[in-house]
Amino acid sequence: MHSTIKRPRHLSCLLYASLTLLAFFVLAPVLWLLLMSLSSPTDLTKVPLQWIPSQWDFSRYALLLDWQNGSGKRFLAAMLNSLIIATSASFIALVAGVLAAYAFSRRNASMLLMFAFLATIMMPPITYILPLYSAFSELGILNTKVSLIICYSAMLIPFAIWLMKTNIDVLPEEIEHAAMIEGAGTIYTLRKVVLPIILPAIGATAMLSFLTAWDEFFYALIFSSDLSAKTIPVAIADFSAGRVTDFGVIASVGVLASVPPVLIALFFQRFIVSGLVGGSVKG
Amino acid sequence: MSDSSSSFISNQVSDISPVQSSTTQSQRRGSSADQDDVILSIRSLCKSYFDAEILQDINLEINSGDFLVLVGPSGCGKSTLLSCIGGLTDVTSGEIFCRGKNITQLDPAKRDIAMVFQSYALFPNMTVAQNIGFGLEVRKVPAAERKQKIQQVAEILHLQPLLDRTPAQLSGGQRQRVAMGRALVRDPTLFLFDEPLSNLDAKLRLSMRTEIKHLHQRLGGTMVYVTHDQVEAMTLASKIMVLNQGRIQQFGSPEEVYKRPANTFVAEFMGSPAMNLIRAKVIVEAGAVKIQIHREDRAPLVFIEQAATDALRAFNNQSVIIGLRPESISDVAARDPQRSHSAECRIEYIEGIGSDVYATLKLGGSDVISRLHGDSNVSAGDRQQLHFDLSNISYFDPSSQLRI
Ligand SMILES: Nc1ncnc2c1ncn2[C@@H]1O[C@H](COP(=O)(O)OP(=O)(O)OP(=O)(O)O)[C@@H](O)[C@H]1O
Ligand SMILES: [Mg+2]
Repeated sequence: MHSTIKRPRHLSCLLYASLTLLAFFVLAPVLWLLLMSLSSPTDLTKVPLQWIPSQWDFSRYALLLDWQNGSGKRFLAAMLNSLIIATSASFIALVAGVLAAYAFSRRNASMLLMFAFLATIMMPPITYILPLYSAFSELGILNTKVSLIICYSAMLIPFAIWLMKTNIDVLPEEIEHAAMIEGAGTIYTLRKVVLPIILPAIGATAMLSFLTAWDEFFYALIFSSDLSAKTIPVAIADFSAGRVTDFGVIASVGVLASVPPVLIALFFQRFIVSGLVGGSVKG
Repeated sequence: MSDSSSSFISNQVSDISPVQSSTTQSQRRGSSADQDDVILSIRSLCKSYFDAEILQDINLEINSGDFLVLVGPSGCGKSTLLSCIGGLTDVTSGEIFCRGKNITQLDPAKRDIAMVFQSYALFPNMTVAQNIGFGLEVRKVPAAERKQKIQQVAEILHLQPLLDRTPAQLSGGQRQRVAMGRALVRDPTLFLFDEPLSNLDAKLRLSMRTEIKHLHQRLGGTMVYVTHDQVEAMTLASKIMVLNQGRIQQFGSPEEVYKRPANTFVAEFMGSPAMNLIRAKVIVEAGAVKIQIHREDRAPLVFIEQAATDALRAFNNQSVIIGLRPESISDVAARDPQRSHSAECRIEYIEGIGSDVYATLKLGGSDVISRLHGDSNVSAGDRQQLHFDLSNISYFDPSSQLRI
C-alpha cells in the first residue's frame, strides 16, 4: 500500500521509534530464549549474567532431537502427540464449525443453540474437569490422545462456529442463490462457492485453533500421565520441574516447541488476504 | 429442439390477438391439450416480510414462448416476485405451478430455471468462463461441449477477450453480461431476468436487446423480464405486467397496456412522456356525448365522443379524467378525421428533443404535453392549431381511478 499523503518528518521519526520499541519488547524474550539454549551451563549461572555466550553450545538440540536417549524420547513423543492432537482437534472444529455456521447463518438454525455453544466457553475449564475425568475413566480413554482430541474439539468448535458465522453472514446471499438456481445442491455450493470465498477466514480460524490446542496445558496435565498422550506444554513443565537442572535444556525445548506454530502461522498467512469477494455484486 | 421451437413461436403469434386476456385464458384452462403449454402459473401469491405486505394476491399465467415483462416503480416487488418464482424466498401464501407441477415448496436447484440477478451475483472465485459454465459443470456436461457453449455465449455477449478474468477485474457492464451469459448458456424451462441491461451503454444495450429478442425467437424460451426501460418493455414483451405496491395493476399485451391502460397509474407509468390526464366533464345532449374541458384563457374545449360507451354516458354531468398520449395531440392532422378534433391552444413552453418538439399547454387545470413535428417552429406563448386524435382516448373514473 502506497500512502499518497506525505507525513511530516518528526512524525515519521516518532513512528519508527515507537515501532522499534515495540519490536524490542516482543522480540527480546524470544532472543534471550534462543541465547539461553545456545549458552553453556556455566555461562548461564555466572554472576553477573553473561549475555552473549562465550562459546556456542548446540549439544542440547542434539540431545533433544535424538530418539535414542531419555530426554530426546520424552521431548519428541510429546511433540508428536501435540502435533496429532492439535491437528485433529483443529480439523474437527473446522469441519463442524463451517457446517454449523452455515446452518446458523443461512438455514435459520436456532440461535438458542448457537448461544448454548458459546455459553460453554464462558465457563472456566475447571468446572468441566471432574465430570470429564470420570466420563473418560468410565470409557477407559484416560491418558489417550482421543480424550484430548475430544476435549479440544469441544473447546474449539464454539469459537470456530462464531468466527465462521460472522464471515458467512457478510457474504452476499445472492451468490449462493445464483449457485442454487444453477442447480447446485448445498454441499456443492459450499464446496465450490462458499468455501473458496471464505478461505481467508478458514485459514485464520485454522491457525488460531491450532495454536490454542498446541498451547493448552490444563486438560493435558490432568488427562495425560505418560508418553502416550503427554503434550508439549506438559513436557516442558516436566523438564522444568526438577528433573533437569540445566536451564539451557528448558530453553531449547521452548525454542523447538515454538517451531511448528511459527511454521503454521507462516503457512496460513498466505490465505489471510482480504478482498476475495470483489466484483461479485453490484456497488 | 427446432421443431418444438417453431411450435412455440406459432403459439406466441396466436397470443397477440387484440382481444385476449380473460376469454382466451379461460378457454385455455378448460382444454386439457393446452394445459402442457402453460409454463408458469401463479395463484393468489402473497409475500410479507413481518407485517409489510410486499406482494398481494398475484395471479398470472404465461405460456410456452411467452415473454413477460414486469414493470413498476422501484420497490414495488418485482425482484421479490422473481425470487418467489425462483424459490429463493418462501412465499407467505399461494401457489406456483411450473408446467402444471406445484413447485411452491420445491428446492430452487430442481426448478430448472435460469436467473440473471439484479446484483449480478457472480462467483468471485471463478473466472468469467467458469462463471458462465457453472451450471453446465453442475450438470456434468462434458468439458469439450461446455467449452464450446461458453464460446458461443461469449461471442453473443462480446465477452471472448475476458474469459480468463475474474469478476473483480471487470467493469459493471461487463459483469452484467457475464451474469447474462450464465443464464443463456443453459436451456431451462424458464428464464428470469432482473434488469439485465441496466448497466450497459446505449449502443450495447440496443444490440443486447436485439440479441435477446433473436434468442427468444430462435430458442423459443419462456422469459420473465424486469426492466425500467419503456422501450425494452414495449419491444420485447409479448405480455406486460404492471405492478404497483405489490399489486397487479394490469396484465396484457404491450399494445393493450399502452392503448387501453386499466387505471390512471398504468396510464401515467407506461410511456415517456407519460399519458396526459386531464379533468373533463361529460354532458349528454340529445343522445350525443360531449366532453368539455375547462380552459383558463378561453372558452372550454368541447368535442363529441362518437364511440361513447354506456358506462361513459352514465357519467352525465359528472367529471371524468381523460387520458391522451402526447402523440395524440399534434400539429399534424390525425389519421382518422372522423375521430379528430382541432382547436387553437396557447403553448406555455416547449422542449425540443431533436426528432420531436414537446409543447406544454394548460388544459383542465393541468399541464398537458403535446408532441409536435421536429421541424415545428413554435415558441413559448404562441397560439398553435392542434389536432386532438381521439381514436385512442381513455376515460377514467375520478373516484376509483379505474378505466371507464
Ligand atoms: N429481506 C427483506 N426484508 C424486508 N423487506 C424487504 C426485503 N427484501 C425486500 N424488501 C422490501 O420489499 C419491497 C420490494 O422489494 P423489491 O426488491 O422486490 O423491489 P423492486 O420492485 O425489485 O425494486 P427495484 O426496481 O428498485 O429493483 C421493498 O419495499 C423492500 O424494501
Ligand atoms: Mg429489483
